[in-house]
Amino acid sequence: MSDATSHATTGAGTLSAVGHHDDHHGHHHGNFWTTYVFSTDHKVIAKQFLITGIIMAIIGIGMSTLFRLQLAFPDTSFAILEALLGKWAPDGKLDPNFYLSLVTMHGTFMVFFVLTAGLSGTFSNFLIPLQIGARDMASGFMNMLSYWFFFASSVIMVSSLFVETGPAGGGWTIYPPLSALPQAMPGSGMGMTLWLVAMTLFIASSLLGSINYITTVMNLRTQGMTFDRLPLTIWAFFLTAVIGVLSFPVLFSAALLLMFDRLLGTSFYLSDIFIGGELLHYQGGSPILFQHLFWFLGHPEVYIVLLPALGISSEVISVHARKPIFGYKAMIGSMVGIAFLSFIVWAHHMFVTGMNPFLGTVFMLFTLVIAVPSAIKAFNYITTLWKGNIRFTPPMLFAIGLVSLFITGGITGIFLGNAALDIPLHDTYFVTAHFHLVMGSASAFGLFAGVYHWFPKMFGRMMNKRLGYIHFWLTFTSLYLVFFPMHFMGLGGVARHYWSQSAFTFMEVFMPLQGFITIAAIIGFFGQFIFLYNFFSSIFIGKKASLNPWQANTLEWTTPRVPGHGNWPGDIPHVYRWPYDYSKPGVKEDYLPQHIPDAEIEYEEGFPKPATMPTPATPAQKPEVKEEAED
Amino acid sequence: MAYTYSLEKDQPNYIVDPLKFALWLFILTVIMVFGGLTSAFIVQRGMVPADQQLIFDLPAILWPNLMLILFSSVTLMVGVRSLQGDRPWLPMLAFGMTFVLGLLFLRGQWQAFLELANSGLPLVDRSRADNAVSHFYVMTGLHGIHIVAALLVLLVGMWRLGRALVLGRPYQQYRFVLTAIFWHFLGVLWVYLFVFMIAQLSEEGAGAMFQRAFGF
Repeated sequence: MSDATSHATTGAGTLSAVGHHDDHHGHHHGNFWTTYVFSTDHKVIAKQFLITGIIMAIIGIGMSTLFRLQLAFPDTSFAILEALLGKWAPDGKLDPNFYLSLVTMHGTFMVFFVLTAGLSGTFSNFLIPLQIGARDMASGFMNMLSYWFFFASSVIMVSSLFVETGPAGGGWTIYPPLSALPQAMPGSGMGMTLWLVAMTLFIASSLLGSINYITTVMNLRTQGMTFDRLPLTIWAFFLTAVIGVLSFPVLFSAALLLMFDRLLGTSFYLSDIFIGGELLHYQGGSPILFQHLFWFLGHPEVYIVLLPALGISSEVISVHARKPIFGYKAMIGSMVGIAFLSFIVWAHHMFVTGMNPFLGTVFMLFTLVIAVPSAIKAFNYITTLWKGNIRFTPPMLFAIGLVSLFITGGITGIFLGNAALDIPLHDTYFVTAHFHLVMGSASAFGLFAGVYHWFPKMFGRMMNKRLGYIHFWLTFTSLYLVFFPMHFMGLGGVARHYWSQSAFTFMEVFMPLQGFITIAAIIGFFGQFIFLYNFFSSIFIGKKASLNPWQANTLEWTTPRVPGHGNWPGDIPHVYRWPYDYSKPGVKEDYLPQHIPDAEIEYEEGFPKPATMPTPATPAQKPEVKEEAED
Repeated sequence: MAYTYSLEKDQPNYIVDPLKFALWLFILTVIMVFGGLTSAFIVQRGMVPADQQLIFDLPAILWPNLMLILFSSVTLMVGVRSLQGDRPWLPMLAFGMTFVLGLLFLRGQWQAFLELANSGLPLVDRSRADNAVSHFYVMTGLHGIHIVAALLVLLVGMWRLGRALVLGRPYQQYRFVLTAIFWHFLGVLWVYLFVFMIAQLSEEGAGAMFQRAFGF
């Protein structure tokens, strides 16, 4: 390697440099607290995000099984509900107000804490420096702050589950007036206040993280790592961060005005309103204004959740299909397109708020246009798989599962994006099915694919393959069994957010289906414990990983088995090509890592070297490369 | 083990300093926050029937306030420029002046709040159909909080500079460059908010308000 040769030529310099590193390291020994708790190392922070995200996911998914019990068997008394929830489940049946709180908190936990912080926080932190060839994030301190804001936010959000009036109950979208008037319902009280405090911290965390990711990608790439050589993961994380920086501040504006309404009595979002027969004299406000501000974040948030998963699956599919990703530039272009379009479609969440139909048509048009870049991505995944030398490893299964869920869930997006169709379909289980498949499940599959794929780099060990397969099939089938029938319930008019559907005859016919869904959901929930066992046990007893277990091209696999602070013991490798040279004709191995210089590529015997490659390894060329590197 | 890891900076591969770049991104988030607030203002304003829209005389003290914050940008710039000069106490003096001007600006804004509230336009008044004044309080207040934060950063910088001067050590002037970028941005942000408020709320217009403030 050129790094090694340049070292050999300046032996004295290298020695003194190593000596310097040694004393330098003396200051960085750190104790338990600075190494594992208040760490500024991006890899430790990534693991902190991941493990906090996993804990939040257990709570969030657990909540869904509890309210699924209620939905399927509204008249049955479950001792477990009373044992777990006490006064919120008198006689083993969920209290209607607490049902709403559970749904709200399930949404909040999953969307923000698991799929935003748990996904983006984990993999942006872990992969950005490793894949672009940087020692760490641009600001390690800001990165640490980002995690601890997130941690504080999680603690406050979890603690809101234990307040007397229960956690927030106005839906994860916290529309006023339920969120603006503490007396509106039990879930509007203390729980709502804590929700707002927690989300403010969450916004701060997310912004600190995003600013850091963008700065790092823009400024700290290694030599040769141009934008058209970035792995698609990095492109996805980068665009996600850009969306975050532009949209989360607007949620802050919305929440700020909401806090004024809530705490100081202004009427930004409130107009004449009756509560319990009493008229509250608010004037001039509009709850629709909140919806506009909220969805200006809320829709980009969907892509904050989804894009990292799409980036991860692009990388995983290419590596495990042993083929270059099909349409690398089209993939980037479509992600840029999705990121841009995500900002001009928010009002499709508000088609039935009495919006001007002409305005609705504009938003409908942009919404449907998103299908174009999304379809490009879906086709590119399939064409990458086409005639690939596919290795059906657990990460690959999850990545292919993502493609399946993305297509199934995405197609119903075209239904819902139509303003006219949205009138009968809005607020039904059709919507629930749509976004759980395309945003919830697909992103969760991205998270799983990422964990299975990069676990060897995170902990130096492999996860158990067999348990991975069982986990995949349980999760994949249970997700389809849960969400696919919901489409039909939605078409039949079954409404979301209803505590019990047994009071309406047209909904009652779907009760057996509700029972089926609940059983599938419970099986899926318990399937996740296989993952948990696999994850935590593999950290300690997993098979030791080789340096490059998946034979991948990207830079993170050039680090030691468990990289220390600074990632590379010596110089950072330089980059000579894009990351997707798999099964390149003539090359000896079926992969060609980014850091191998052209002159050192090993070709199959008898294969004529490419015309673009200078056949004799001209000695005059090497110093030139080196000079460039030292600029 | 991890003993031989290099923590040295590799040769810089960047055009802009990462910290400065991150600061600009932070500024972008602040722009988005105020963008959100001003669009909320415009949307809400559009919902009020024209004959019920509030139009009134903004507190005249906003004009001198505007001058204060613009002048504080000049003093801060003088301070940053003179850091490399041979008069070590000049930057300290300039930063001190900036700090005082910042405090005066905050005091002036507070007076504007009081003046408005006393003239029958408080933050909370459920009898009015137009929320524009409440928006004024929120935006001005949030801008003020940013000024407070920037003043704290400036104070920390001055303390470090002072310590370096007393102990005869070198100091990081780069910190002041970043502070200055943020401070200038807050000045520009206030110009925007000021113009926006006058265009939306003021009955008399900027000229008459100027006359009211300075008497000519």
